[in-house]
Amino acid sequence: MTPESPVPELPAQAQDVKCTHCRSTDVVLVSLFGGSVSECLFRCNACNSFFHWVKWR
Amino acid sequence: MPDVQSTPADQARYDEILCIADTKLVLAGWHMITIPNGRAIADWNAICGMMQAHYGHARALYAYLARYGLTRADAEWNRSAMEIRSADILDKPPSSWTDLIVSTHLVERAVSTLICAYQDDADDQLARLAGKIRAETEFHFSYLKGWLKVLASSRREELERLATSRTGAMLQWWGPDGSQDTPHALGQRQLTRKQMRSAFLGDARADAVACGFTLREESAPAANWHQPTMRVSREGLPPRLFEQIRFKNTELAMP
Repeated sequence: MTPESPVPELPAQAQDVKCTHCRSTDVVLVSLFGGSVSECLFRCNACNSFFHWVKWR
Repeated sequence: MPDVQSTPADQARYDEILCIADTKLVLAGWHMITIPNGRAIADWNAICGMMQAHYGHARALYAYLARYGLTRADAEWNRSAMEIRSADILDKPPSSWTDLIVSTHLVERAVSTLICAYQDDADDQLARLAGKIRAETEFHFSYLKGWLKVLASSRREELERLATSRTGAMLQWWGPDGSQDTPHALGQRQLTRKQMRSAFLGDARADAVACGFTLREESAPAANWHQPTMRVSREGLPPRLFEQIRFKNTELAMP
């Protein structure tokens, strides 16, 4: 039986991410790799929106 | 190195950066082949992302080497299996999902250690490129360490066995103690190869401890290590691997 994929952990650069819709910091990392390699995918617990966060500032 | 006027220092830098780029090229090829083995959509997504990053890094490094005469056609299409300078560890395909995660983690650690030695280089283009590669690689480590923790709790014996044998293979990349270190001797990088080997091993061990398993060092013989290619094997890439990773449709890709 193959173990399940791990929940991704936030790298140090992504500790202060805010929701791009409501500015909440109550967000969870969904995927370390988003629509392009330079993005991570987050979900906001406050407004239930998904948003991309650009890795390199 | 292509036929351009160059100094021994240029040659040393060219050789080392090409080894990094080619290792990323072949690691990207590994990911391309192993995408269907992803355990969940998140894994497909991660492997696709890492593959895209490695191809991008390889191509950026090839573009950097254009100043030494390397053309895109030579970098991507014209070289034979004998001329690809990827790390020996990638010659042997992953035998399982655990092996894929372990091997990818070790290759990323080693390549990251070497490219980071150029982060403060006097050549601003290479320094910034090294910084970007390091930053992206942190996201790869985050994904890989997540899997290492899962495997340490569910398949510890297999994980430790593979980690030991693959660490030995990865250590070959740095060459035997006392081997020549021309880039350092000629002032192309500050850190010695021995220091980087030690840093690589220290980081790999620290990751293992953080993920809940033990990494044992098992040095493989590296007597035939060849500095310009950082390889022990002189036979080039295995034919099947080369056939799978080489770019085939030049006429479609060339502008």
